Parts: sequence; C-alpha cells; structure tokens
Amino acid sequence: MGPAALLPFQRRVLDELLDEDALCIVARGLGVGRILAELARACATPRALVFLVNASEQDEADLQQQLMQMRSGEQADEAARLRVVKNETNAAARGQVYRRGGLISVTSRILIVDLLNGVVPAELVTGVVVHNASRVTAESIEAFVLRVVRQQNPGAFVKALSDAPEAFAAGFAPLEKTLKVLGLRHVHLWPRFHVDVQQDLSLEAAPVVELRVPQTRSMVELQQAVLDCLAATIGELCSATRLLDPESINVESSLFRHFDAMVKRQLSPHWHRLSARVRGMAGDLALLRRVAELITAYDPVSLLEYLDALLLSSRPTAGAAPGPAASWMASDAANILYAVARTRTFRKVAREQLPPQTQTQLRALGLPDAIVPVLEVPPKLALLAQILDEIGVANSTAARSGAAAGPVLVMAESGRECRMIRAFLASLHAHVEFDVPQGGDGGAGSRTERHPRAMVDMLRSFFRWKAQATGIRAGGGASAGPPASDAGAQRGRPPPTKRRRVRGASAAGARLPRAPAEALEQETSDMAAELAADEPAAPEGGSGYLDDDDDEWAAALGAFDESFGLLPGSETVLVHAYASRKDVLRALQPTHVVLYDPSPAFIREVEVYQARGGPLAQVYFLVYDNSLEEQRYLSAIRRERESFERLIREKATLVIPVGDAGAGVAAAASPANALMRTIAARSQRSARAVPGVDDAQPPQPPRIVVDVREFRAPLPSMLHMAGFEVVPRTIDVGDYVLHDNLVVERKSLPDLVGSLRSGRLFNQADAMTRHYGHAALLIEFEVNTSFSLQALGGITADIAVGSITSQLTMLVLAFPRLRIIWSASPYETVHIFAELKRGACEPSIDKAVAVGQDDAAVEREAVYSQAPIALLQALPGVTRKNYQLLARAFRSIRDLAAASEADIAEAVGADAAQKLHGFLHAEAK
Amino acid sequence: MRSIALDASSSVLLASERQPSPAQPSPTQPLQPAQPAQPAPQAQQADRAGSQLVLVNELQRGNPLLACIRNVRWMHSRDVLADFEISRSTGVLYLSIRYHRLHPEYIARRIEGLGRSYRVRVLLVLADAEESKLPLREINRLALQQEVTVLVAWSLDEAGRYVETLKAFEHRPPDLIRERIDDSHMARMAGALTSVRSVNKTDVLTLASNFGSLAGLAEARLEALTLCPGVGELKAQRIFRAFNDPFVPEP
Repeated sequence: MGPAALLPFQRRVLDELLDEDALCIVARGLGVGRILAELARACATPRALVFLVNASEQDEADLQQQLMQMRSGEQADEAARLRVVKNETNAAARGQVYRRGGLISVTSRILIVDLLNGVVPAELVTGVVVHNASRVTAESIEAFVLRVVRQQNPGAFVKALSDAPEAFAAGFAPLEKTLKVLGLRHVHLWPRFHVDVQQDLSLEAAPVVELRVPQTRSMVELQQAVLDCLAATIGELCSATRLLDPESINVESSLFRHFDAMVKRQLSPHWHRLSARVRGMAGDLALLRRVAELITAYDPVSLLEYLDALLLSSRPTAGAAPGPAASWMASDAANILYAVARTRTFRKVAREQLPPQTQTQLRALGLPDAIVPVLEVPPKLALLAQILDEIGVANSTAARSGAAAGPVLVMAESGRECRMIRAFLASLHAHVEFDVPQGGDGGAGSRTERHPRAMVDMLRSFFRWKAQATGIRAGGGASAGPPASDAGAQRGRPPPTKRRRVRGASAAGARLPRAPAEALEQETSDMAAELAADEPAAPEGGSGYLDDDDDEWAAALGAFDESFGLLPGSETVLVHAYASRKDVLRALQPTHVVLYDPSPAFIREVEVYQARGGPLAQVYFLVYDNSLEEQRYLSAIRRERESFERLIREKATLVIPVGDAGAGVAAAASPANALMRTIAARSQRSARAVPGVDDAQPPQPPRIVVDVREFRAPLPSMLHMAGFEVVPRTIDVGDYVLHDNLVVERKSLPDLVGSLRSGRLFNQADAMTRHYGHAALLIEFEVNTSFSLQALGGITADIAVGSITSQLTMLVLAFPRLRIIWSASPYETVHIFAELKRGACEPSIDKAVAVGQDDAAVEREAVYSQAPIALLQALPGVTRKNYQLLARAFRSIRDLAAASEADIAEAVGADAAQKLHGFLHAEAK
Repeated sequence: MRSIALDASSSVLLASERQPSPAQPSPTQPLQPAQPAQPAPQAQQADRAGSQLVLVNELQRGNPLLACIRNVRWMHSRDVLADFEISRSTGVLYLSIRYHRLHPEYIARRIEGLGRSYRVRVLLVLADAEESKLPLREINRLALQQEVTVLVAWSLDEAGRYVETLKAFEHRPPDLIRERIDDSHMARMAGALTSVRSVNKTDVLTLASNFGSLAGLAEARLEALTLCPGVGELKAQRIFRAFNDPFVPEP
C-alpha cells in the first residue's frame, strides 16, 4: 500500500517546516508522526547526515514503518530508511553508521559523547530534528547537543516538533524559554481549530454516534469511595506541608494525569526536606488516581486483585522496618471501596445455603464452595456485544445488495483491555450456570445465574493467586497461613501469623480488632488458603484471559500479531489498543470503528482518515455517563484548547534575540552565560600560568575528564558552556577528574540519600580515597530547589539514626580524607570547579581511565545492555568481579535461569553458583 | 556513668541517658553570652570521664550553638585547638557565614592553627546569611586545600545536631552506611526486581505470587506480564526486556 497523500493542511505544516528552522506544535491526532515521516524522507539520503533526537522507541518503530511503506510506494530506494543508534551499539559500530550518513535516530547521551569525542565530525552534520520538543529544557542533554553542533557547524539546520501543547502552557513563558534553548526564532501552531484544519476536516464529517453508557451502582459507589479517599489525602497533605496551592490542588484536578506532575512541581523545591509521611501521601495520590482509572478499565476480578495486592504489600513484613502506613487505607471510604469491589465479584454465603449441586459445581471449577459468584459484567462490554450484532446485521443486508463491508475495528486504551474484550467476545456464548439461593436467607427457592466462562476462569485464578500471595506475606514465620479447618472460627480475632498494621493513634483502630477492609481481605485469603489446602493439586485449566496457553482460540491468535487477534467466527472484528501502533486506520481500512474508550487524539485520526476518503460507514463512541472517564475526556479537550490559546497569545508578544542566523542564539540563551564567560576567561589565564605550558601556544581550555554515565546530569553541559574541555570517558572511580590528584563524585540529593542508605556511597568513597590524593563528594542541589538539607519539620529532639545528618556524620568519621563540596546548583558547581582548577595541571586522560580497573582485563568496548546487566548485578552471588563472566557465559537472564547449577559453577565457581541458582529457583514465600 | 548505646534499628532516645542537671541550659532558657555557663559538677565529672565529653574552646563561650547541644555532654576547656574537640582524633571548627563575610581571613588562620593534631578535621559552617553561595565557594576551595571536611548546617539546631552526632557516633563502626544484606528471600527478590525501572513493592508481590520464582518469571511471556494487575504495558515491557534481552547486544 502506498503512502496516502497528505491533507492540504498537513502539506502546509511540512512546507513551513522545510522552509525555515522552526518549532512546530501540532494538536494530537492531526498526524505529527506523518509529518515527521515526510520530513524524515527528505532527510534520509546518504548525501546528508541528519540526527533525530528525543524520539521514543515507539516513535522510532512508527517512523520506520511509515518509511518502509513510502519506499514500497516508490522504487526500492535503499537510503530512505532510519538507522537507530542506542546504548548497545559500541563505539566502532557507531562510527561506521555515522560515516554512512542518512537519517540517524540516536540517544542524546550517546550523541553528545560521540560529538565531544570526535566520533561524529560536527562539520559533517547537516542538521538535527528534535522530536517531543516539549521535553527539552535548558538543563537537558538535547540543549547540549544543539549547542555543540551549532558551535562547530553554524550552518546546520534545526527543526523541532511537538504534539503536546499543554507542556508549553505551564510556568512562566515556557514557549519563549524552549525556543531560546532550541535556538529557534519561529514557532508554528496547528490547533484543531486552525482555519485550514477546520476546512480540511469538515468536508467529510465522520458519522459518529456517541453512546453514553450508564455505570452500574457498584461502579458509582467505587468511584465515590475513591473520590473520598482522594479528598481526605489531599486535605491531609495540604495541612501537613502548606507548600501546596489549594487553588490548583483539589479533588477536581486530582483526576487528571497532569496532577501528579503538578504536585511534584509544587513540592519539588522542598522534596528532600519533606518527611517520609508527606512523600508517602504524595505517592498515595498518584496511586488513588490510578485506582480511579482502573474502576472503568479493569474487569471486577482484576480490580479486586489489584486492590488486595495494594493492601498486602502495604503490610509490614516480618523483619522489615514498618513503613508509614497509608492513612487512606484505614479510612471508612477505603472500607467501602474494598467491600464494593468484592461484592461485585463474589458473595460469601454459608455453605449450607447453597444447593449441593452448586457446591459440587463450584468445587469442580476450583472455586471455594461457600461463595456465590457475582461477576458483574462491565456495561460497555455488554453494549459492545450489541453493537457488533447490529453491525453484523447491517453488513449482511448490505452484502445482499452487493456492497462490500470492511472490517470492524474496536479501539481500546490498553493491550490489557483489548485482551479482556477479546476474551469476553469469544466466550459470549460459553456460559457457566449456577443455581443460587433466591432470597437473602436461603431456603426460599433458588434461581439460575449465568456467567461468562472467561470471568469464572478469572475468579479461579484470583483465588489461586490469593493463596500464593498471602503465603508470601504471612511467611517467614514457622506456621504459614491458618489451618483450613478452623479458618472460620478464627474470624473476629487477629490470627497469630498475621501482623496487624500499625496505624497512628486512632481510637477506632484501637477498638476494632481489624479494619473492615483488612477483615474482608483476611476472609478472602482464608478461603483461598482453605481451597489450596483442600486441593493441593488444583485442577489445571484456563485461568481467564490471563493465561491463554490452553485456550483453543488463543492458539489461533498466537499466529497473528499480538494486537491483531481475530475473533473466531466473526473474522471481521479487530481489537486494537490506541498506543500500540500508529496509522492503524489506514492499514486496516475498517468501515466501522468502535472507540471503546474515549480518546481525543483518535477521534481526530478518524477525522483525518475520513477526509482522506476512508470508507467509514459508522463510528461508535462509548463513554460511561457521568463518570470520571467522561470528565477526564472533556477536560483533556478543554486543556488542549486553552493551551493553544495561551500559546497564540504568547507567540504574539514573543521576544527573541536577534542573532546571526541562530548561531549565537543558543549561546546567549542562559542567564548565567555572561558569568560563565568571565570564568572561562579566567580559567584560561590561569591555565597559562601553569608551569610547563608554553606561553607561545594558544591557551588550551581547562580540561575535565567526565564519566560517560554522568552525561545524564546537567553539569557536563554547564561545564562545556563555561569553556571547559569536557572529555567523556568510562571511568571506574569517581565522576569528574579535575587533575591527576583530585577526583569528585557528584551526588544529587535523591541520589545522596539513596546511596548513603544502600552502602554504594561508602564503597565509592572507599575507592576514591584509595586511588586519589584528594577525593571529594560533591553534594549538588538542583536548580530551583531550596538550598538546605534540614527537614521542614525542624530538628527532632533526639539523634535519629536514619536521618541524613547522622549518615553524613558517619561518612565523615569513616573517611577523614574525603572532602565534601556543597553546591547550590550545577551553575554554582561550575564556579567551584573553576576555583579548584585554578593553577592546577590538566588531568591525564589515560590515567583517569586506568584508575581502579581490575587486573582481570576488562574489555571496555564491550558495552552491555543496561537493564539486563542491572538485574544481573542485583542477584545474590553476583559481584562486581564475576558479573562479566556470567554475561559472557550466558545469553540473557532467561538463559541463566534455565541453566543447571553445574553450568553456572563452570563460569563463576561453586559457591556463587549455589547462591545464584538457589535464589533463582526458590519459590517465593 | 552509663555508656551511651544506640540501637541501630530505630531512632533512639539519647535524651533518656541525660541526667537532669540544674545548670545545663535548657532550650527554653536561652544562654546568656557573657555568663560563665558551665557549673562545677560537670567539670568534676570531666575528670572521671573526660572522654564522654565534648571539649569546647573558650573562644566559643557564649555561642548560642551551645544551647543546642543537648544530647551529649560538654564543658569548656582552655587547652583545645579546635572549637569543639569531639575526641583526641576529631576536632571541629565552627564558622558562621555572617562572621566570615566580615572577617574572611579568620578561618584560614584557625585551620592553620590546628596543625596536625586531629585525624578527622571538620569545618562546621552555619549558613546564616541570605546569600551563602559566594562565601561557600571560597570555603569549599579553602577546605580542599587545607584538608578539612565541610559540613553545612542551616540552623543552630542543625549545627548542634552535627556536633552531637559526631560525639555519639565516635566509636561506632560505619555499619549504618554500609551495604546491608537482608537475608529474607522476599527482600532479596525485591532488591533484584526493583533494579528494573519503575517496579515497586506492590509489583514485586504481584509478580512473585503469579510466577513463583525468578526462574518462573524469566520464562514468562510478555502477555502474561502485561496482564498482572497494576503492571502496565510499559512496565511489563521493561521487565520482559530485562529478563530476555541478551547481555551483549547482538548486531
């Protein structure tokens, strides 16, 4: 399939962008990916060297695919493709890729290291395309990249794209700041209400039916309970800190995704000084917001499982220090939340109330025999089934009259939801029937209830999970779990193996043996334990859509792309997630589209598809009436519109310095710049004063060797801006080598706290003081955070062992030769480094790299994949010394886990192998 | 005299070890600068247990900081080089930034005066001026050249706490900041799994209970991970890749 033509407005966006260097902000769903692809096609030629920075993996995949389609549309043009350079690509291979030219998407941290090390000759760079431009700040690496490219090659172009107008509407003059950082003077705004867009999209209005689905009573109750929890937590948080602005932090705003960022932003200047309780509450807010979303997104069983997991993991384990308990969990609203979440899943009844055949049936299904499954079907699912029937009927009539019908596309938020929808649709006609007692108190006859097979399977796997999870939590003690026989008798008093959660002096808590939410959870886990005890070998079978190994329809599914599953029997229904792939409409050419979840971006994609002449017959838009989901949708649209309006106003009054074609613009961007230049001048003078440096030679900039891992931090960028020669290398000891006898380890505050606690800093300090005459720990505060370590609540009356004061003191006592440098921000650090460099010799690069390396020769060039290596190093039995042996002997953690103890022993010796193998295979308990 | 012992597991009431002494300045009774503060009883105790005390230089007489040292004992002494002598091997110099701005040469002289007499040399800086960055820049450099370790406090209370803690921890091994090995299987499992970005303790429980062992998790399909409640698509992918990606990337 060839590439569809651009709509007229999209063509204009592209032309403007090709015409001049600019930042282009396009509303979501209007095809920013499409425009990027066209831009990429223009760049992807071996005559050019263009870098794409800041693109996510998903962006890269989408772009790759679009380029491929374009290629197949034209002749096979080998060059029109995207090359991707990541952490894993080693330096030599990277050099080759760069030399071949074309369009290269590269991790910014890698690119800056390569630019500084000369792996990329900057004068060959044709230009840089910055994707997701809203995330670029003065301190980010992208700004560093652009500065270096511009400095060495003023002719290089810079184009920036963004589809997140909201990000430009926070704080003071964010648009202007971003433009300055990017060194751009023009901005193009393309909201949905842009005249050209209106015109293009209104020609063929898509036939949309909006279906407002009422929520069930239990969903409304759940929603209310979560809102109450949120309100209580927000109130508590506001009164505990006084740092939050009650105008913007309230229950209403807490439902939206940007809320977490907002709380974080308001608290972040003082984050390191907040008590654990306050930080915990900020985390709880994010958690509760998520629960609010899951009420509509998850099926009842999964929601209950998630809630139970929250409760279980908040409980202190034996041996571990009790963390601060979340106060919302102890509230009445939380009790309602847990109670309702359970009653819409199953009801507990006395065993005698159930007809004997039902008991047998339940047991045969692997369920406890004293429950009545309730298994509320989410109303949208039921409606979806109706809609599909309707479409089926319409299609067959259309087929009789000779019209061809395309597939039906169902779009949902996540892959998980897609799976739920598929499972439900597949088991539409597979039901399990139960006879359940009619009235509340039994005996009054019984009626038959039908439940979808998939849901019943879910419930079984829930109980199986429950037994496992409770075992893990209660374990550690001698007797695991209450014995099955007296589980009932135990209710009402705390079982000896379960520790009651310690809560703040609450009178209610003192009176009740357990909070009701906990009591319910306890009851469920008793049932699960009983079930597990009765049937040590639980009947194997499908466990809902979680585990599809033995479902026949899943086997057929496996052959297809995960998100392209075909439903048996109705081959024309496709279920797809919004995020999984872009341009799904064009690829599948559906005639009917069902938006299972509301999505402003996808609505626009539908509009664009329609405007391009897509054969749409009907679009269904499903939203729960009066729900949080609906509110979120409406507010997302409103926020986007308001952001664009603000941007338009800001654009009108924009003040951009007049520079010579962008070259000087980036350099003039920082307010601290003038200062930096004076430092630079001074550092250069002092470099000249060093004996051994010939005055006749041009002054060399002062050199600092920086560990490549440090390039995530803003400091290297600031140092470079101040005129230091920044030399990126992999160094084992310390982060910055100022001269041969002085090494500095930089710690941001969160890092400081974490590494003091984990013992990492102790080891680093040990290594630094062993290898260097002068070693310093740099405690660096972030820009815009308060320059103080003292807790906001003031100093406690007694010496708290866990406080940062105590830990720092201990470090001082343990390493008398370790110095501590205090810096208020990276900008300040630059000044301090300049002071320290004054009159000092330049560090030898080779020496800095060689320090601390083991004799067991390490191949520095073999760069490992980060995530697997981090996980490997976190396993017991794996040390700094032997992890490389393992990484060479085994392909991945998965292979390692499959290997025998003897195989592992061959690589690292018997002791380590025993530890490692034992750990990998020990069952959690 | 009882020795001061700290329990590692929780914050400990050092205050309970303190015997009420009528002359010891209490927080509610601000110390008057000119008055000789330390009464005879303390000095006598010092003879018996000198190592239990922080010796305070006469120069610091009247320093309001002294009122903030409540959890350890102290007395004035004429023959110490540092401002606060924690022990024979540990000496603390005290500098308020406001004072430093008036007398920038003072501190260098004091540091020189220490000679080689302490192994642990601490410069306790009180950031009591609005603008403390510039003076701190100088102090940082001086400290590196003169080999003293800087600790910055933002209030008298905090500064007092540093003095107290230095004394209280004088003989403690640095276990507090060393790697600790938690031996329970679940703790180690949590340690391993949380090395994957964004995995939290609820996820650890969910994963452990759904897949049993790490080996079981290693064999899990991406699908199965995605469907664990609370584990979103992105997180599932991260976990999956940590287990399945090759250590050494294949070209």
